[in-house]
Amino acid sequence: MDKSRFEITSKQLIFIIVGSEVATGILSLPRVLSAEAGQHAWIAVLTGALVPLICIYLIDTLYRGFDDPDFVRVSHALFGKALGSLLVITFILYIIFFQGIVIRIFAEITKIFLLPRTPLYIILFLILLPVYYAVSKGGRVVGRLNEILFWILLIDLLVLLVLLPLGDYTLLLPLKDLDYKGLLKATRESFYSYAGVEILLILYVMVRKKEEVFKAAIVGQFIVIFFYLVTVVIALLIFGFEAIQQLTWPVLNLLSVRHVAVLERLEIVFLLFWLGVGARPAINLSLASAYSFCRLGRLSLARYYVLTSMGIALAIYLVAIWPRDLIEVFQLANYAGFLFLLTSLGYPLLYHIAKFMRKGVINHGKTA
Amino acid sequence: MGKLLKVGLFILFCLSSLAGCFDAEDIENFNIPLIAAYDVAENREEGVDVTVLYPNVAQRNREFVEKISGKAIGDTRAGRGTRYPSTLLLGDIQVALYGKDLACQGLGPYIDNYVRDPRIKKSLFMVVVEGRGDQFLERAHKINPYLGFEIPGLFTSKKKNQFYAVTTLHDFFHAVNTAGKNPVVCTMEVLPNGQYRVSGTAIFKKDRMIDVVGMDETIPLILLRGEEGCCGFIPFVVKKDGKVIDKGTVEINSKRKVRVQREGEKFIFYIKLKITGRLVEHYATNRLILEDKNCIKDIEKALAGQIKKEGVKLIHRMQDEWRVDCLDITKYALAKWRKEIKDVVEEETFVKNADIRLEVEVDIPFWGAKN
Repeated sequence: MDKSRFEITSKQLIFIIVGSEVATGILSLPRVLSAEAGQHAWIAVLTGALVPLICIYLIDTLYRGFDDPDFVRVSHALFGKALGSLLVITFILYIIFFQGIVIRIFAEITKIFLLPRTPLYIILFLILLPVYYAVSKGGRVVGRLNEILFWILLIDLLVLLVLLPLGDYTLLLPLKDLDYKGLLKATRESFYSYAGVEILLILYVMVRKKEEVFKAAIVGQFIVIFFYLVTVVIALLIFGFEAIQQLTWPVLNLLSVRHVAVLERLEIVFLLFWLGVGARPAINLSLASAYSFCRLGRLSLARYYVLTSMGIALAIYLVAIWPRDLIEVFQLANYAGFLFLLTSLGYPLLYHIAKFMRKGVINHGKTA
Repeated sequence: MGKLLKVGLFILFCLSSLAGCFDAEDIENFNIPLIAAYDVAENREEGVDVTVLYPNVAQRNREFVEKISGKAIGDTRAGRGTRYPSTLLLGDIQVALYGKDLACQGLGPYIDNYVRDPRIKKSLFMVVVEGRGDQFLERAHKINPYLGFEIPGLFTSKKKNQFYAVTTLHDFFHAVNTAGKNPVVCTMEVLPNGQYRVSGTAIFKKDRMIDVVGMDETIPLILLRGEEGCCGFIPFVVKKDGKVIDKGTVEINSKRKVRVQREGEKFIFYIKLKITGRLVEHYATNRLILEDKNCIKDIEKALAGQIKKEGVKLIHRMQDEWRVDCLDITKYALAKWRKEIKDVVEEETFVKNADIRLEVEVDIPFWGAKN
């Protein structure tokens, strides 16, 4: 496979950042946040966003010193071959675990709302098949796919906006009486939904104009924040923070509260579009992990990339099939949220410390 | 050529998908309920009777109803499975009718299946039936061949017709699960000749019905609840020195504003109704509107007084008898002092001790083509 097939534009990076974060988390986000922060749940969307924003800043400043900001090369340069490889492998394992959870939640939603009689393992297989296919085509195709799916996501957002006139603003009030402990907990709960931004560690090298990476990633992140904010606010306006606790996927329930002429069932329209959008993080992060795995093993992209992506898809399938039920899935999602915090802040910080300590030792031009 | 073939295949695929999920034969194998009625079981100690109205499908020439009894709603589906070969599709259910007895027990357990099942839309309408739901359906469908379409139509078009409660499953679920809120549900009755009509409003304390008011009290109730976009016809009588000088009808729509103040533990609610309307008719035809400036003013004043009188009566009844907030005003207090009062808003004393003041403003800027 030609290495140029892994080149993406900074515009595509915006869509990939959005695509890596906005997936299943958004559907339960209003419930999860309001369980801790009540009517102030929307504030947790903003406080939670600090982590991905800091992550972007740290990654950008980390790679600025390197001429070839390849994750594997930088890891080897800063930590040596053994420890560097271990860090890369851990990162790949994290991606597989996280995407396993994402795909499982996606499959659960598909089963509950669309295919109640289809066995879960079939649904998982049917989801992962196009994921593998898209990943096997390389970064450029994934970039374009994200661009198309972004506009579809926008349609979904417009569908949500139809509900605004039904909202009751008193359900967001009062703004005072902020429970800081609750807000902190809600912020922690939001991490699962923000996971995906750490993909920048790997994708940075793929972006054609490196000087535009920071701007593009920040724009992408603000789009994500906007999506989340709109969704949480509308859900709170319609259900309020108390009734919302009774609903597993409040965003999908939200869409069935209003009868719309001709379309009849808004949630079906939403889900139709969502089928593409929901699997996006798995596509993006699988691409990142398959790419890194090939780089780590010094495997030829032309010969081994497709095989590696198949292996990654299989590993994600195994993780996805592992949890017994939805309760276990949500528990694992909670752990995944913590892992996101560790990787999105921990990795760049660790690399920064190593970079600082090895200042002068590393010849930035020849990092490997 | 290859590209053309690909595009052609894609279009073919799209066209084949346009056929939808079911063909004519499939449809005949499904039963798609439009209305379901739920009652306290007649022939068992505990349980529920479910009566379902199905639409006109190919193999039958009119709507039909079937009644099944079970320990719970889900159980009736099992019972149905042993009697009927056709598959039940719940996705198009439009109205849920609840018998009065069941409503008095509390509807919480009987809406659980609706909220849980993603196939059922949360915009379905809820109605409490005077008497039993099964009798309502059985009687009404005999003389109304399109009952399954007419009853939902009452609720989708009500904003253009008259003031009565329109409560969807979402509204009910939301009110039951939100502090300070209580649902109101439209009531219907069937007359001995099979004709049906909206008869009033059921007052709920959370999921349990506590009283029913007639249509005369329903109008101020809906106005005071501030249901957006409602409009309807209200008759008026203008009196001078105890003598009727004019009467007629006004088509109105109303907007509500609520302000709340707190004096220690006492809450003062100021409800302001701003009513705008169109004169439909007035009997004092000798009073020409363009010449007699007081003509419209008198009507506005009379209507404001009339609505205020009925509203105040309803408020007193709410505070003295029901002691639940059926006007949906507690939310304004919660919006200011949620943390402090969230535990007391459900107590009877909260509504009882509140000072609720009503102000009505009527404006009739339109009187049609006749002077």
